Amino acid sequence: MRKFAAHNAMYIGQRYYTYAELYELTGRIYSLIPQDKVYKRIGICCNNDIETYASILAVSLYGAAYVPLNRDFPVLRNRKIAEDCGLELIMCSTENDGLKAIAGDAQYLLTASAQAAEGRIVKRTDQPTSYILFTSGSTGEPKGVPVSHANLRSFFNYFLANYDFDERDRFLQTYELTFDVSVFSFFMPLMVGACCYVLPAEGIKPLKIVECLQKHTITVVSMVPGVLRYLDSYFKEIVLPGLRFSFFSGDALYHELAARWSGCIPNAAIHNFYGPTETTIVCTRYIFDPQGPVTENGIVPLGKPFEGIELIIVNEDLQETEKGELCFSGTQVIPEYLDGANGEKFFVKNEKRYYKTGDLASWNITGDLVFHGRADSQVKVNGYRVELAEVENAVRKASGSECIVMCVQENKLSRLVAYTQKGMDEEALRNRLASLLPEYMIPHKFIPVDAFPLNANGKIDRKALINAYI
Amino acid sequence: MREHMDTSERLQQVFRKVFQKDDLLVSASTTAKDIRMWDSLTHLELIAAVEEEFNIKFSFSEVMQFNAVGDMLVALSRKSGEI
Repeated sequence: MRKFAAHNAMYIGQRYYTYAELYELTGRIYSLIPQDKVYKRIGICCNNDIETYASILAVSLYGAAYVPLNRDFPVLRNRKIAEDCGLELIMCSTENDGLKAIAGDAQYLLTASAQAAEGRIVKRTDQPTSYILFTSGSTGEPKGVPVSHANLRSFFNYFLANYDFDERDRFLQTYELTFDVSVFSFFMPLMVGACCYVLPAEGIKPLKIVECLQKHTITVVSMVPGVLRYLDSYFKEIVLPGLRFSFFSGDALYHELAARWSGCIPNAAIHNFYGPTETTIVCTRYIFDPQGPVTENGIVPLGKPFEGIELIIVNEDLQETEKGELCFSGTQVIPEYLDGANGEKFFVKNEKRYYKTGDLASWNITGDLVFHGRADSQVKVNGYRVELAEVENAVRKASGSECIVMCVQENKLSRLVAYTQKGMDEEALRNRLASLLPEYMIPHKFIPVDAFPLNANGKIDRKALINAYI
Repeated sequence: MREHMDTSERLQQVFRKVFQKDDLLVSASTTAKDIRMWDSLTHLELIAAVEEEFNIKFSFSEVMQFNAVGDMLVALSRKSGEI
């Protein structure tokens, strides 16, 4: 940070913070961490403010793993995350109603009131884990994914070796801090002396993104493809000559859409990345060419793996095959899940430990990976990974009756639809769900059904349900 | 019937239809924060529904200014030549 002390490090809340100011604030927050014991993991209840970002830096420099908590998520969900991580300390920039309930017996610190601090920042512990994020779980509960420093080092080494980012770059941070690509959008600019512009929390996100890209002449941005689907009809009115890199990840990117987007960004390269949270943010890349070949399904290829990553495509018996489930091994694959329940998702083959992504893929003739959908019931909503089983579990809990949740496409965007038993009070159900699930996991529509059709095995027949009610 | 409804009344009907709430009340100061289901996806539906109701097309720069219902009313008035 010293080298770039006078440079702008961040723009947030309509003001700039230099590297010196950010470091000074980080020191103040660091000094709040009680010295009487060592904390292996520290929760950060996230607000869209400089203190929250400085808290991440303070926890990282302290040597503990940071656990971001989304203040818009239900208290029960955050409480479960805090319990699963055994959090004894939670930081938040401001007091809020849910904070005490989330913290439970854990201590909480308000960082906005941090006073000027004396003394240096020194590492108090040396935890192997950098951060712990929670993804939607097929068992009905969120699942903790601890990402190690070694995983993260490997990830950033790829970008440092393959990109020419420097202090003149302006990155836009468009993600919530509980979404792993935020780690790239926040740390990458700081690693090269660039400035990180944080998207305001208020307003309609895709519109705010374009506003920020224009207003701050952003040079590097990472977005989910859903943003493009949203803006598609306005492309003719959008021109962003200052953009150098337009990155995508989190969902399938369609060739036609990306080609139309390229017309808005005449000087930028479009790179499509892929990777589940378990392989540290992203681990494959495809450099998009608007004039290049279009895949059979129209989805931009996932490309080739990063250095240090090995992958195989397997069938249900874990034998290698041409088209099947994509599995990764190597330096970016997490050591294990927080709860240690790794059985179904990890396996050893040829003395290498592989992670099963649940994504179906094949190689094309140019040696790039091509995406073919999911092998299970996981879906993507606005880039968020959602296990339908988790939503169904919550709806059953909230309604006390059967429910089937599916993902449908409306206006080119993904939405969740829940089939529930007739006679349900939708308003009351929505209110109960708001205490169990984040907003993006609450079904957009509830369709009452007279009776759930069953298949030969006595299970609910999802296809018959769609045919009967759509 | 429709001729007798003013712009804000017609806009309110569009909101009620999009958010599927017959008793929804909106005012010029209503923002996305005030309606639970008003997310970015519904916003897109809302704009399409307003365009259809008033038989107009908003430009991207107009859409970017829609922070509250009042902004939409101003744009509608401008489109209909009232301003």
